[in-house]
Amino acid sequence: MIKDNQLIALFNAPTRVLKAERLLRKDGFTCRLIPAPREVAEGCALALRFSVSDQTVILAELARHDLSPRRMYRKQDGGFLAVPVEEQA
Amino acid sequence: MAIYLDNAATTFPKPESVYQSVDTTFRNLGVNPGRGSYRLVLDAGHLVLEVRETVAGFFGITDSSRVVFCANATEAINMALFGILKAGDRVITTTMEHNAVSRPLHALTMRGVDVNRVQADADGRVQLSALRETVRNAPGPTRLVVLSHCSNVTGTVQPIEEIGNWCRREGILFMVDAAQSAGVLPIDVGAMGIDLLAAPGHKCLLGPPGTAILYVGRNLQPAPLIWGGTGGNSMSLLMPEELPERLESGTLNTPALAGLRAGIEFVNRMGLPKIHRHKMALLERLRRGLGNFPGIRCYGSTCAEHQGGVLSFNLEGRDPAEIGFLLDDEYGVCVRTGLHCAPDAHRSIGTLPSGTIRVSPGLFNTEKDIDALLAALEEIIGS
Repeated sequence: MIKDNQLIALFNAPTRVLKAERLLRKDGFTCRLIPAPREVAEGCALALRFSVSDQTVILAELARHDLSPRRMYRKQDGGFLAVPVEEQA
Repeated sequence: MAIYLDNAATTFPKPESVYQSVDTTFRNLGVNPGRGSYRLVLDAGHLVLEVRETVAGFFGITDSSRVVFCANATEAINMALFGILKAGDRVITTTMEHNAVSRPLHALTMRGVDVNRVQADADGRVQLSALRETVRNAPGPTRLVVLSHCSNVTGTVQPIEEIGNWCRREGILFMVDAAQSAGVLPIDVGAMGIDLLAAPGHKCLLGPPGTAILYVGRNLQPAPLIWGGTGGNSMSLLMPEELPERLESGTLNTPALAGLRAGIEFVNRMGLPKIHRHKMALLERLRRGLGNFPGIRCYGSTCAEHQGGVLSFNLEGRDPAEIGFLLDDEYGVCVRTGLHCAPDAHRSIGTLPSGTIRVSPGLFNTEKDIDALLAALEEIIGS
């Protein structure tokens, strides 16, 4: 579901994650909504998956629309590494 | 085929596109948006988001997540009033309100909320000067002003832009019940200083029953009226802080919401001025025709600018309920009679306890329908 060097972003509401996905797709970014893995989210949640190479532009675009994610993780060596959102945005 | 002239209760029929949208969505996307992560669910989620954005665009709402879907406008009004008001708060309302506003406010008085009413004039219109005086004479600060944009009894349109902007300057929250105006009269929450807007989807927005919206202003965080699943953060026993999820527990009616979008698109294509003109022309024809009969009394303003899509009248010495029965039974004409769930409004215009005969044409009514009603009334009066 998530490969090494892919990022997943978690938002604080289902409506926001849908808005974010639609915005990014409209802008031509490759991204996909997936169920958030249990290691990073308790209960049901959607996560937005995208490539590390798009990280800077995607976060800037989301921030521009007041849709910054609440948390973000990078898949690395089979685990999930927290990535600070605000520093990147 | 009956002649339906009770569109203030709910519009009927709907545009063909509304029926088709409901049917197509129900057949092809009848899944539960926000519950799960498979593609059909995501498609349904996107559809709901698009409806939310259509609603937001229609009312000048900049952030569509402040649009909450409800089952009906009554639920939306309850959600706002019970979610915002606390013991000790003061609310100013008017003597023209529907029970959808009056009853929750009455219930809130039992919880320590103070409610004051501004008296409407003989046409059912509430003047800003009267509202200002009520606020200033109140023993403490006012938290909220709530009123209907357009009376469901007289069709009287209230000066909400003037009132809303005054409330904003005074730091008072402003809530509008747009049950009879959404889809007939322009509403822009920003320009009109509206903090809370409740509107049904099934009336003049032409959507199916079971749809309504509550707009919640940016700085407001109502307590939920209903607690339950929201499709995310399921481990928490608390409701989410974010809108719309905070106020949208349980499964949404996606097919009906798709129908609501089709209804709003129809309204947008036709344009509010044309819709208002159509209804005013039919009501003016009715008013002129009624003027030829003896003992007729019409209520509300005769000025089209101050009038929505409703005309109430009475026949001297006749019970409105009997007239309504005869119109239906002998002529197949559907009108509403009685108090229209708004006893305060009838008290204001002096029509308690028997109420009025109310005619509310829709987009698909024609002059022929009004003429048929007038011909039926002429026979009833003659008999």
